[in-house]
Amino acid sequence: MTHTLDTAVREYLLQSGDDSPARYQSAYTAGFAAFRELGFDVSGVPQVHILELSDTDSALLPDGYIRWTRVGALIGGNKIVDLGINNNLLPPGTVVNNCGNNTIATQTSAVGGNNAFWPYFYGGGSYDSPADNWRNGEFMGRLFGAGGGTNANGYFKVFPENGTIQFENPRSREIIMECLVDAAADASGNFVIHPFLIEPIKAGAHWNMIKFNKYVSGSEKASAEGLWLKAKRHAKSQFLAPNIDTFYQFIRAANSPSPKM
Amino acid sequence: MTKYRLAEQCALIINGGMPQPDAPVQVQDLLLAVSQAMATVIKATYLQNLQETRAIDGSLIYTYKVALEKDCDRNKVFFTMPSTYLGSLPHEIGVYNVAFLKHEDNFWVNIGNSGLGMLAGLQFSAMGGRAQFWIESNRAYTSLPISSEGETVLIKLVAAYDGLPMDTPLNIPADIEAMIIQQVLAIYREQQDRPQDTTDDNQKLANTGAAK
Repeated sequence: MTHTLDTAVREYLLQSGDDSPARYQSAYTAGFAAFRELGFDVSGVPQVHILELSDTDSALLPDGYIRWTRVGALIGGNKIVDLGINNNLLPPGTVVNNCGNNTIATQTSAVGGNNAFWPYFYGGGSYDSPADNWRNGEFMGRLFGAGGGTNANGYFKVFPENGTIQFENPRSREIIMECLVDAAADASGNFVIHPFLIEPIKAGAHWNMIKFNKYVSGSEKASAEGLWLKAKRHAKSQFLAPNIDTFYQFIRAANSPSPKM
Repeated sequence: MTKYRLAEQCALIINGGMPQPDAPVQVQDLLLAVSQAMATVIKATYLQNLQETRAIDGSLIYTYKVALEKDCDRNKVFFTMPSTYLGSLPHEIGVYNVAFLKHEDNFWVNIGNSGLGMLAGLQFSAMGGRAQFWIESNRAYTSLPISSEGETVLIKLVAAYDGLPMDTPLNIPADIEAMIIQQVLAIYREQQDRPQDTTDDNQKLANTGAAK
């Protein structure tokens, strides 16, 4: 069964003695505030997105983007290779090219040569290209100076203020972004919640409903706040607790035989 | 029990236990007071029980079916409230439940008269995808699309006695009945204690010889 903010709010209303939706709007608003806070403090939702690259090697960040945890290029259909960070990149649309289009020239040295034959070397913008190592119609076989701390898989820089990400010579056009997003940014309004968050949302809804009400006594407010903080801590420990598989893997690794000398 | 029988009982008590055709207070006079007393008593009972529960006794809830209509000026769909209901309660709980007739499990949310503006642009404005409504006098406007015109809505109102004929059987608990009668009697006893004008004006005029 899928748990949503709606089900948690109705559960709270029923538990607090309502069998009418008359207070639903207030409770939903309060529950949403709790849900949003939990998203930032406890459960920040990890998601994986496939980014669509534009002609200028830029892409839009996912809705509700908070921060990235991994950005990589998908190669061979099943392998992710990490991209590097290049803080010198400009946000998309800040440079006007000769044609009058807003774009950024990110192709630096991949000039000439055979793309099909040299896909690897075309990946990193800072590499010498094969053309630089071609003498008298013959490839010299060495790319002196290649490497030098550059990333053959390409680079990126995130511009959260624009909601965009700019790439430089990514290894492939399929970019995978693992990131934390604000679950509350779901525009459909039917927020799916983790089972660990049901009780904290109920406690948070109650706390949020009374915390700005000047007619509720201080002791009741203190009690509700304590309940909310306790539920939040509990959820956090639930999220952080290792599961049985983790322990199993640990034991198995610890018992692996050491190589004989 | 019906509204008429309650009013009749009140009339008997006020008039000394005997039905008198020329008594100053007649059953018809009391019918209005009975409806008003019902709402007052139910509201008082609700507020008394608030610490225990916010639920309202099912025997006090009246269900109506109405069709959605179109307000072209405002580009909104609305339904006409079929009766008055228990008002002046927090969160307009007098309108106990509203939903499409065939989808009672998917209740609508009362967002209040400024709800559309207050919720505009907020992340949770969709309220989980539920239909929204707000009450303006005897109409309830909705957030539904115009194409919903003609659909039937199921409305549950608390103490909606105003819209009931006086001979409709009511399912009111006996203790509430007693409180309603006491409430009506309190109003009329006060009236009876006041000085009464018992002089027949026609007779007085005849004795003085003045023109009628």
